[in-house]
Amino acid sequence: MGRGINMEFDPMKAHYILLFVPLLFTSCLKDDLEPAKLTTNPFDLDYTGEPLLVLEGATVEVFYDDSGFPNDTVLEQTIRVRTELLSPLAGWTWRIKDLSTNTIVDSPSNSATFTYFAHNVSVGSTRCFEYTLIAELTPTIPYTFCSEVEL
Amino acid sequence: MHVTMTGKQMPKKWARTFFCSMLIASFAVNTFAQTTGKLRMLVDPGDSYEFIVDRQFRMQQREVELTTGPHHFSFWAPERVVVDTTLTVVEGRTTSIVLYLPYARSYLVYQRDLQSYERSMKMYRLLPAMVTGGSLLYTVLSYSKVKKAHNQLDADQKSYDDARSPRKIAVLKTQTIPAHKEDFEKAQTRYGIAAGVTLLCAGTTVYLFHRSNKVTRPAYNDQEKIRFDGLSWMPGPNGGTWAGGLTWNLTR
Repeated sequence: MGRGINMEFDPMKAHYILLFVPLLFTSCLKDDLEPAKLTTNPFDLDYTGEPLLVLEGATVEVFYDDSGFPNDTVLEQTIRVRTELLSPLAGWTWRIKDLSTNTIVDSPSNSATFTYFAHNVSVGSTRCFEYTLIAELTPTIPYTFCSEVEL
Repeated sequence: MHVTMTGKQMPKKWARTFFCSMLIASFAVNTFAQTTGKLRMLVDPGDSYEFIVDRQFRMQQREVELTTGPHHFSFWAPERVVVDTTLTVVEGRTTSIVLYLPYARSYLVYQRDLQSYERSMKMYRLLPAMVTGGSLLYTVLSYSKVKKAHNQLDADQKSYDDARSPRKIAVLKTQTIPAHKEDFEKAQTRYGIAAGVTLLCAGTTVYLFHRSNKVTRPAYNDQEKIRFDGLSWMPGPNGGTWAGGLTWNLTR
C-alpha cells in the first residue's frame, strides 16, 4: 500500500493557509517616505538637484551722453529658468537682490528668461546678484551669479 | 297406564321434537358466534407507532377490528417506550383510544448526551471559528486602513512632486506628511496586533479542531425497539415467524 498525495480539500489545512495570509500582507506595505529625504522639487528650500536657474550670459554696455562722455555703465545678466525641472503649471515672479548695495528689485515678469540691468557699475569690479523665483508669494532657493565688469 | 300412539298423534310428536331441536340450535349459535367491535388508535406519535395485539400480531394501522372483550396491546414507536395495556372491545362499537407514548429513558439520556456533545462541539469548533473569523475580519479592516494610510503617503509624495509653492512644500514636509506617517504607523501597529491575535486565534482553532476530533458523537441504541421486536410475531404465508432485533453501533 503506497502512500500517495492526498489532493482532497481538508478544512483543517485551510486553517494552516489562513495562518500565513497576514504574513503575506505585511510584506507589501512599507513606509519609505521620509520628509528629510524629499529634496527633488526645485521649489523646495531643501532642493539638492541641478540648479533651477542658469546664467545665460553677461554683457557690459557703456552709454554716453550727448557730449560723448560716458555717463552709465550697465551690466546685463540674462538668467534662464530650467522649466523642464518644474511641473508644467508652475508660475513665478522674479526677485533680484544686488549683493553690493543690498537693494532688492521685484519684477512681475513670469517669463522663463529674465535679463537684469545693473546700472552705474564700475569697470573692473565684480558684481554679484541673487536671483530668487517667487512662487505663489513664497520665495524659492536664491541663486547667486557674479560677473566681472570688463569692457 | 300404557299409552299407545295412534296415527294422528305421530306428526305432533315429530313437530315438537323439531321445534326443540331448532331452539337448542338457535341457542348454540347465539352462544358460540364471535361478535366484533373496533378500536380507533389516536397515538402520539401519530405517524410511526406500531402495536402488537394479544402478544402475537404486529400491526401498524389506525383502526383495528377485533372480537369483543379484553385484548392485550403493546404499543411502541421509535425513541418511545413500549406501553403494555389491555383494551376492551365493545360489540358493534368503535372505541377511540388516546395514548401518549412517553420517550424512552435511554433516548432522553441520548438526547442529553447529544446536547452535551453539540455544546462541546460549539465550544471546540463554532466559538473559536467565530472568534477567529471576527479577528480575521478586524485584521482585514485594519489592513485596509494600513493600505489607505499607505496610499495617502503615496499621494503626499505626488503632492510634493507636483507642488508649485515652497510654502505648500514646507507644510507638506513639516505637518502633513509627519501626520500621515503617524497615521500609517498607528494603522500598522493596529494591523500587527490584529494579525497576531488572528494567528493566535487560528492556531487555537486548529488545536481545538484537532482535539474535538477525538470526541465521539453519541449514538442512540433503541433498547425499546429491541424489546418490542422480541415481542412480535409476523404473519406470513406459512403461518408466521417470530422476529427479534439486535443493533450494533458500528461507529465505535
